[in-house]
Amino acid sequence: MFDLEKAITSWKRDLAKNQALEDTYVAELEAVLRDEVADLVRQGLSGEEAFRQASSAMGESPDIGSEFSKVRRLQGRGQRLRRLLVPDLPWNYVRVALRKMRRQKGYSAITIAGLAVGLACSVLMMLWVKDELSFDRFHADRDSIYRLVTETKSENAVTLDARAPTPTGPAIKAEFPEVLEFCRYRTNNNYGIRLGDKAFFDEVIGIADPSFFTMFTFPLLQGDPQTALEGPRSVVITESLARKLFGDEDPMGKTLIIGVRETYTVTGVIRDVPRNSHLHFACVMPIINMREYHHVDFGNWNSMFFSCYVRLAPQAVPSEVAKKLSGFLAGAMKKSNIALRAQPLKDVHLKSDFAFDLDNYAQGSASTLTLFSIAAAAILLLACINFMNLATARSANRGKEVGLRKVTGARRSDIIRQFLGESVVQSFLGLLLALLLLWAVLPLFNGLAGKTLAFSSLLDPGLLAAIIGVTLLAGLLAGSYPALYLAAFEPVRALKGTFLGGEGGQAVLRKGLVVLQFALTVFFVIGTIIVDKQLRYVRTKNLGIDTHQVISTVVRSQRHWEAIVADPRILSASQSVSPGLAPRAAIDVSWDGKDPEDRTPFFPVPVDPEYLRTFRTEMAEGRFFAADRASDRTDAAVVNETAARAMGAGSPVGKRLTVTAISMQGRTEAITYTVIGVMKDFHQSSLRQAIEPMVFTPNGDQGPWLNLRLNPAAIEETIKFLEKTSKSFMPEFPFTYEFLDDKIDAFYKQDRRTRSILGVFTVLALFTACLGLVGLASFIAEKRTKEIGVRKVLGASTRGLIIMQSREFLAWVIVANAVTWPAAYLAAGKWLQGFAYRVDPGVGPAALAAAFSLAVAFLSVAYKAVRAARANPVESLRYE
Amino acid sequence: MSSDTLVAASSKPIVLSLLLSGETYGYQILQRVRRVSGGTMKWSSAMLYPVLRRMEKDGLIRSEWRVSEENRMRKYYRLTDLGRKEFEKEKARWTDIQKALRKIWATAAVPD
Repeated sequence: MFDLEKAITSWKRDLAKNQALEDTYVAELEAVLRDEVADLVRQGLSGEEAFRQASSAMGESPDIGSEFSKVRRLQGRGQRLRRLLVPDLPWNYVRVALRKMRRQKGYSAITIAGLAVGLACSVLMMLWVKDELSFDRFHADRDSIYRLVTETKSENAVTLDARAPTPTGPAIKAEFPEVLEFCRYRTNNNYGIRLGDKAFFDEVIGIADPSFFTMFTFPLLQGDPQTALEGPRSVVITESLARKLFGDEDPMGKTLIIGVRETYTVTGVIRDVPRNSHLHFACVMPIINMREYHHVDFGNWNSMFFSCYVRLAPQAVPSEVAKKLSGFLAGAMKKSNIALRAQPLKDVHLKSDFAFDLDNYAQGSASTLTLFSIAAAAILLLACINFMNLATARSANRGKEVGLRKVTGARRSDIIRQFLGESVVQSFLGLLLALLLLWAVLPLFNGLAGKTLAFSSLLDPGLLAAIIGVTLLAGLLAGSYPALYLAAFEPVRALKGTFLGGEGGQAVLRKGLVVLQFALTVFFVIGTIIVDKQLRYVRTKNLGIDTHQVISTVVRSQRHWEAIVADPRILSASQSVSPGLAPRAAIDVSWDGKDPEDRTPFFPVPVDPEYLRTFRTEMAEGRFFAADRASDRTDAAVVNETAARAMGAGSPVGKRLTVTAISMQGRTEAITYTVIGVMKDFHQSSLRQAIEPMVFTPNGDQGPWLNLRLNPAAIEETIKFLEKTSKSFMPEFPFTYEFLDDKIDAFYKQDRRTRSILGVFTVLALFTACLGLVGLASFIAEKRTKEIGVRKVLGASTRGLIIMQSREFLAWVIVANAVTWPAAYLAAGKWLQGFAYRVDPGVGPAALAAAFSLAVAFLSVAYKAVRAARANPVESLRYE
Repeated sequence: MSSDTLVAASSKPIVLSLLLSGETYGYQILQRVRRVSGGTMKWSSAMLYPVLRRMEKDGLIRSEWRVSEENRMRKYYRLTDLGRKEFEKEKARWTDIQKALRKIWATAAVPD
């Protein structure tokens, strides 16, 4: 019996074999066929006959197909263009990559998280470096401006001073045609600026030659840059200072008071100083005023008071000019051990750690920057290694795919492109995550590093290009090995499944990469521990002086002094230069029998008889100044042990010592003292510096400085009392004081920052390396599922299985530790060399790093190992 | 000009003209072509449907699957506004050709 439905179904099936026909076409054709059949039946044909006629009228399936495909080809023109732009294959790659990521969430999370951390560090460093390099680039003449740095050679050291002898600028401009312009500059931040009842004591006052505004690019909103600083009582102020002082009124021609009573007239207003300028000030006043404020003798070659900037002719070679200037200076000063260096303006911000350098409010450090850039690159490398390791380890899972692709005609280059594409996609996903991460932690980092980096500065096109470049590079690097490795698969073996990933040479490479990862990490760990150890040492070392609970402040009159000393809460008070203040070497020190070639610098320290008691220093020999001996006030001096050694064998006590120095009135004075005692050495500045020969002279009461040892039980109320006293004796000045401990701590501010940031980077490096280890361990545990099952059935204990699985990893970590120690100690040793007094790192840091890295590695591995070892052997044996 | 090409060329104006009188479905189109040509033009569905497809894609006609009175799924086609305009153009073109041929045939000696 003929069944129409069956016939139609089989006719449809036949039709559907034709690839050119889509389902909807078939449905339409079916509708027509049914109509035709119904028509023919109506005309009297049997169902079977009607179907036969109707279907044959329609033609054979291949004919129908070819008719349809003709039309399709005609329709396809637009699509072809689209395909040219975005070929099908890459879409397939993206689809496969996303599918793999979805199916292997854990592994993808590990690689992407690692890349995100690495990229976040890298982007952060790029932001930081860019910010540091942007300093002082806004000056129009940035390429021809140099700062002169004075170099003094002594017996065994070279000291670099950020200042130049005061007459240098005008003298070299007159002498050398290459020197087009000079400008001397320094700052002061305790003169105070006043107007009526308004007073500002925190503002930085710049003091400069009149050429300041023509040499540097600080555009004047009002006033003439050529003449603004010409009048001795003229001042140029910033916009924000103008607003603070004068509100909305026009500040030009108005007067203000700098210091106690000197009146200055505003001759110019500038835009606020850019954040990225190493010169920072609220106003600038002419240099000539220093004659009365600090008794500066502008003709004295021994006077060092200002930094000196010069603008050189475009064709001048700075090193040669510096050589000429050095010769000139040595001649003028009649000293052969003095020279000048020309430091490019662009370098000043990052390389300004000379003596008497400007108090650079955001001082950078080229070496710190390099260190952290390397650290960030290393973390990114760790993340790339994670990717490589996991991708190759898991390559067996993709063997079939690669085999099939190759069989269907993929070339080696296609496979390479596919896998590189996959790693690049992941690396860009990592970048997205990294940016999110960075956005979240940037404020924290700014606090840690003392920076003000803004997330929005990422929008800079150059920086964006660099970020995208680095991301692309990381993606390519991470994908390079897996891509080459997978592309080399033999399709037959890969398809048969006889291929087992993770054996032979590839496993060796993987081990090598893990060792490299941990080597980098251990390097950071050891570095951090040694830096920390040194900083602890610095803090706890017996400095030979007790600065706890000692504050330094200023005193302006005898009555003020008497009022303070009378208070019982003040344990002792000494009018002397505070330790921690960078001292200035004497021009010359001589004694009977001194070798005329000996140029050891001596540092005079003005003190009073209370110095010993206030700072709790000790005498090694002889006696200290006594208040009741009149001769001690003029004729006596005390030296420290280092100075005593410099003065030759035997006791210096009783020797005559002539000290030539610049007095507080700015005159060069030579005074001869009799040495009455030797004080035990103490550290008076950073432990980076060796203890210098010091001469304590009895003229401490000539300066305004005052050091007070407070009763530890009443520190707060004593400070309140001091403030009240200060207000009543000098109401025009704010009360300022500083704990000496803080001052000494400040020497190590940069080091402490280095330690914190290094610590953070170390944690991140460790985290990234561990991520990789977790991934590898879980992969290996998975691969050994069956083996573990068999071992368990044969009686292996859970503990034994965990040990078996972790042993290999731990061995790698030990190897990593061993290879890193020498490098880490070498690098740390180099850093420690910057300190004249340093800890012996010992084996402690290495042992600690080893223990730490082993513990962390074990924990990363153990989690998966425990799970694998605890699994029911029946389950694991059924695996695969 | 082969007759195949002529069929292809004329299929569009014929479909447009047939749809002018209202919506219809594939089989009906085939039947009506056969009827008006007196059986000389025999279109196959394999030829018609691609033409319909293309015309739909070009926006000349619109289609809709519906259940017929016999309770079967059928695709109905109707003209769009664009299709109506296209019909006018096609009509003008074919009329011109027809006129031209008529004139030629009326004046020229046509060999047997």
